[in-house]
Amino acid sequence: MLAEQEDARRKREEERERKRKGDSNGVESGAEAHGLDEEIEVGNDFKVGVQIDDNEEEESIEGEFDSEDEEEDEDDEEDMDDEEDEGEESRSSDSEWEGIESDAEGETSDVDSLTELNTVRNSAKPPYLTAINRADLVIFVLDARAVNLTRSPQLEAYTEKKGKALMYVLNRAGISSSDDVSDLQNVYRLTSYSKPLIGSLNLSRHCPFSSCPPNDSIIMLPLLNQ
Amino acid sequence: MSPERFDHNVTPSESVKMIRSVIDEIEGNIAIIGSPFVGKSTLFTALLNLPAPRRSTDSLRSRALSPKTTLVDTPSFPPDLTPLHALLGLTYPSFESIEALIAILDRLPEEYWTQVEKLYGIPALMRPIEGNRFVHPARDLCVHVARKFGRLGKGGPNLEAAAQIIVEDCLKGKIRWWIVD
Repeated sequence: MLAEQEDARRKREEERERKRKGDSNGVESGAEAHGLDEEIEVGNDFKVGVQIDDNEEEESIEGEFDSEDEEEDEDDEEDMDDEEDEGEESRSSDSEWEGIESDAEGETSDVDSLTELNTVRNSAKPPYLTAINRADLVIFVLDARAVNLTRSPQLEAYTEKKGKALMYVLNRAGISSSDDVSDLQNVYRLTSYSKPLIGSLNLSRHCPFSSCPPNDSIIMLPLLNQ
Repeated sequence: MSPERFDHNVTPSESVKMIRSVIDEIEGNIAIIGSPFVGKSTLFTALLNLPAPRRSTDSLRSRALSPKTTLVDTPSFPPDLTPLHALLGLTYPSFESIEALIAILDRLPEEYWTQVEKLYGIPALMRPIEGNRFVHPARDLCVHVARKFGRLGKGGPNLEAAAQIIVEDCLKGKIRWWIVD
């Protein structure tokens, strides 16, 4: 049984070798049949390729790996550059915040809370910071019933630091306890603000409840340095 | 500057015109910033004469106000939430909101408590005055309101639902109160 199996294997191997030879001969014959030097060259190349195929493949593979390695290295370098850029960006962003901190002496707590506000430092900036950076005028909408609860001194300081014009819109002043605009100004300490514009706006705003206050109002206080 | 009173007769369209008269003079980008539920998107849509927003803004949204001016609506910045925020409709209500409301009502004149008693049919003996103080005022008020409005669950009165009713009544002006900044 073993001898028969070995014979069968030998036959298979011989058939494979014949097939290989037949293929190569076929190619050569096919190339010669066309009668073109180029084809012969192609055939020679192919022959050479067959003989040195492994080496070439290895070389080419090595080359590919080398190139891949080089590409990877380049990618790594690019990544490193990106990381360095990111690092520079983060450093620059840090420097931005540090700039505020250095200018706003005695208001470090505000700056700290601003950094807390920008929770993910390495990720993209929060949309409102992006908007402030790109804006020429920043309108802060506040609730007139709770001015201090809805304002953000940190963002206001940031806006002023960026040199943007700033405007407050006090919403829902119609249902506020204080009708006196000067009271609101005192609350705000808006000493540099011009004559306030007063208005009323029925706001069918998004509301977490089924019903909203019916007569929401708005007060607008423009900034002088527009 | 002479004190100016807020004019409740000013119409919304007049207000929008007033705002437009100022920002139309500005060329460039105008960003609207604010904490949640203050009316940023409502102002945005009102200025652009668009339909009112139906959901909260989760990304930057810009529209041309004029050929030279762009209005940008922004998502809210994260506020430092307090129990008062819920009483003002600036966030969703919680049981702590009612505790804050009771603390405020305790500081206000008696007429405010009378108003609450009338609204919810609370016996006067439950009033949290000296010598007759609730053990847990917020909880007792919520239990009473839950029973009155049928907000009863398997485990007893649904205090969260009652808290929401009270907060909604605050927002509707049925319970008068205001905060001191």
